Amino acid sequence: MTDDLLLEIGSDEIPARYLLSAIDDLRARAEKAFDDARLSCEEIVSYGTPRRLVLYARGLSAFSSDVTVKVRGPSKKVAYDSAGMPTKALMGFCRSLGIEPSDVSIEKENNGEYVYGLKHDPGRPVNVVLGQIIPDVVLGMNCPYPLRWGNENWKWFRPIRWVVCLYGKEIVPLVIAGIASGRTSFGQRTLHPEALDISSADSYFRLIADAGVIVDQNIRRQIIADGSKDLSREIGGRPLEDEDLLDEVVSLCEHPSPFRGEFASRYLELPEEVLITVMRHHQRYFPILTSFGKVLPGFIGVRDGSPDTGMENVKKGNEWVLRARLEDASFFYAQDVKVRLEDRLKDLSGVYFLGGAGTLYDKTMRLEELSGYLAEKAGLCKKEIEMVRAAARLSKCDLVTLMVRELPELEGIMGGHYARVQGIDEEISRAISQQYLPKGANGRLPDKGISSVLSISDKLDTLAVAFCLGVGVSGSQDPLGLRRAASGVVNIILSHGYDISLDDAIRKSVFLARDAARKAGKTEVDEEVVCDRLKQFLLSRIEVYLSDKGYPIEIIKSVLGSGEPRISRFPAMVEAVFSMLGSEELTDIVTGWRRTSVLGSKASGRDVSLELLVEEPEKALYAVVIEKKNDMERYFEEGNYRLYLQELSSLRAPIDNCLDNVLIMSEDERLRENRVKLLGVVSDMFTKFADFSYILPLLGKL
Amino acid sequence: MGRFLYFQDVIKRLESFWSDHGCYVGQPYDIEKGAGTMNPLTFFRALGPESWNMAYVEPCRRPQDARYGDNPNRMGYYFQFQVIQKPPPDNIMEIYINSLEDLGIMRKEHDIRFVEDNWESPTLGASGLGWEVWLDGMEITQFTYFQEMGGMEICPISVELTYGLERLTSYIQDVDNVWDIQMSPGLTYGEVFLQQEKEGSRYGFELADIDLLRENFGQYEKEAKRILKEGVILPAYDYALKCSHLFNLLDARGALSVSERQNYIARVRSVTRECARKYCEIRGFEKS
Repeated sequence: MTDDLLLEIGSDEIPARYLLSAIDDLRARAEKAFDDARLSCEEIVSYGTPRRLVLYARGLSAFSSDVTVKVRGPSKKVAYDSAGMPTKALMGFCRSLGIEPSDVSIEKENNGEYVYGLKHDPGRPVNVVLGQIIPDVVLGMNCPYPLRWGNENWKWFRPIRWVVCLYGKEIVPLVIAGIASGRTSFGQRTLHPEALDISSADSYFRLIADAGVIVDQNIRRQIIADGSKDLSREIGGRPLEDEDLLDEVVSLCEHPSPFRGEFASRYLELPEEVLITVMRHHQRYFPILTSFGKVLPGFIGVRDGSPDTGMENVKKGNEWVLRARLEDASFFYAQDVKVRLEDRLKDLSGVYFLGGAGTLYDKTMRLEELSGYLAEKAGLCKKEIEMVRAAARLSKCDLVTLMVRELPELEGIMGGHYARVQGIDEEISRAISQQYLPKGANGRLPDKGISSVLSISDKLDTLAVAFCLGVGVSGSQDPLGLRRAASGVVNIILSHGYDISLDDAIRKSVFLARDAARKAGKTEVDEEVVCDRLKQFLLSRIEVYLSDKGYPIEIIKSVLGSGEPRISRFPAMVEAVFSMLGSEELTDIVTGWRRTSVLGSKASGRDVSLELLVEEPEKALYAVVIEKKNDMERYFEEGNYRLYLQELSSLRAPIDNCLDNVLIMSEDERLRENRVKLLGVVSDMFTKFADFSYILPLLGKL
Repeated sequence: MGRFLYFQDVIKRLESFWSDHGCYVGQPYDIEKGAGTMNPLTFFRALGPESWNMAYVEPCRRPQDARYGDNPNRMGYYFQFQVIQKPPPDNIMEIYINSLEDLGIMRKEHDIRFVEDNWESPTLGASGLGWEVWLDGMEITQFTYFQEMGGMEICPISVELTYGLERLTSYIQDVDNVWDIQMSPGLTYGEVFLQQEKEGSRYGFELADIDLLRENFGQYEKEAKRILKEGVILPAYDYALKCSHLFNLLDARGALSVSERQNYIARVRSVTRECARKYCEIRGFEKS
């Protein structure tokens, strides 16, 4: 016999940012718990609104399944005495399984004979099992910042207020956070605030819908998405596409009713980013855009409640709030543009950076120098170098404007706007506005050229100062966003292909950052150590970058092991090795490397003496090396990595020939040393490209 | 919405509503403070196991938020209506919505939302989890379950409701500008408070004597610590409140660097923590 199970956990409003993952978590935990408890059902689904999480198991069997397992008992020696009679040990074992000594069997194993018995675990009624497992399924959910309440210090997203748990028509008795299960639920706060009895599991969805609750988050999402499209179309626009906002709005209501509000077109004079930020981040409205992406003087809001009553109040109230916010923003904008960005530089010395590591003015000075340095290394022309420096100089000035103090998420963007309005060169303005890009893992990158150089400099400086201060990253703790900054640096350099030496960039930024660290009270900074730690940190982000592109970690680690400082070369180098995976050539390369590198790494120098090469095979190997060396250097510099690797693979034959026929560890010390040097020269050609030891596992046995 | 509600009517109705729900209707405390939570009858009563139910109007001074009376809804001096319930009733959110209905804001006619907003007061060593309540998109109330006070985990927790009286009344009276709020027949908010707001802004942003404020801060801090050693808690807390206000003034005046700010906050916190600790000791609360 089977029936449906309904579980509804009613609570104070669960924070929107957790709701969707909580819905999935509840289902996943229930599936696992049901499995462990041997409960079977056709399907488990979960839903949720801010005020309730719902679990529904269709066709759940009325009993957990029977099971019989074979259990190993004591060894035969221990189980029977010398007369072959059962010992206390065996009797105890049998008692624990509920069987007689005559029921056991003896099995032979490697280390002797053992007693085995069958343990029969009969199925139990589903309500008994559920009463035991459901509380833990619910209370053990992943709550990042749980609220603590009640005398027993319960912890969950927010206080739990009711629990409905029905198997068919019957209440499943259980207690969660001090609340006994029943059949009483509550409807949407405004449409049906009264209690509501659920007669049976399968009537739940109809009854709760009648009480104004759309429990299925996907249906709410559809209502909001469709409604905002229709309403936008009425004024010839479309809602801004924003999945995060949609997720949030879905998680903020039980009964969404989208509506369109308006604002005065005079506010359209504000930068679009300001309008969008105010609507989206502060009010959770969908901005409405024309087909060309221009902001229209309207917005889509979503009410939680009926579309039929009081909608004019809701619309008017929301318009009122938006107007107040836009009025504020207009005031800020008008005040801000009056002061030239350049004139704000002095104010930056009143704002501390990273909790006292100098001021933003100090940072600006560092950025000017660092960005100029990096621009030169990245091969920008003289004029561009000057532009980067100019952008760097103004880059932080918007942080002391009213607008950015009010809407911090507009940092950079406002700086760019104000620069443009004040007649500063477009490219410089753009660099200012793009300095914080990329925002996320797949976020848009700053444009190639001065924008990118400024963005790299800003992040590298923050990293260098933090590392000088000894502020690192551990586990999920990354309050300064250092991981994101490092990923940004890597992402820009690799994607735009700047042939910059990472070592140089790090050294310069750390050198500049020491002073800031000193101001924060860190008087002793070991530059070597800081540079190395920062480099390892950045390399770890390169690993992430490349493995996100699908390359095997072994290949990535091997190429990074080359120690090549121009990190923008890594993607193509990794691709070259990857494209050879499974080929004979790669096997030849790894073999060549393996045969030369162990001894080669012990060589005292690379000055191979021709006169001391006496055997034919070693002469031949050296000749090949000399012949290929220049070409290979060129291939490498030009980025012809495939050719470089092919040349490496062609070295295997002369290497084999030499090592098979020449005794490296000759008794003659001078010959021996010379031969080791020769291997050093050869293995250098391999290790310049990669540390092939990481690749060995990919090749199987050689 | 029924009869027109003056500012004083809104207060009266809230008082009578919460009085009906078991609250003692108290009076504001007579020392400057940045938020109603700082009232000692909230700060101390949130500690320990004893139940506490109170509602009161509390003026707040936030020099940083002053706008010379130019801004339609932001000021450096304004009023909160505070409700503390400890322990909170299970249906506290429902009761809260009923309090709005009592003001004529009927739930079916509006959009009432609880949007996550957690709260922290570094100077009080306090934190809580909760929501801001949105009425048709406007934040009208802060709804918080306290979790910590004076640096200690508290049990049972209290709920704190903070109604923004000006916001709420603007909405009820349908005025765009706080200064146009009708206080009582024929009297506006501006007529009562605008001059204070203008002069307060000028003082806070332009005139406050930084050296004097710093000096006072040091003196009050010293006095608080001195009398705490004598086991006198509430007067010591008064001095912590004074320090906190001086800190707010210095901050508005732009006199504090980031690290100095942290330092000042930590100094106030160390006094309030000590007050809380000693309070629990004297009242015989077990350490949680």
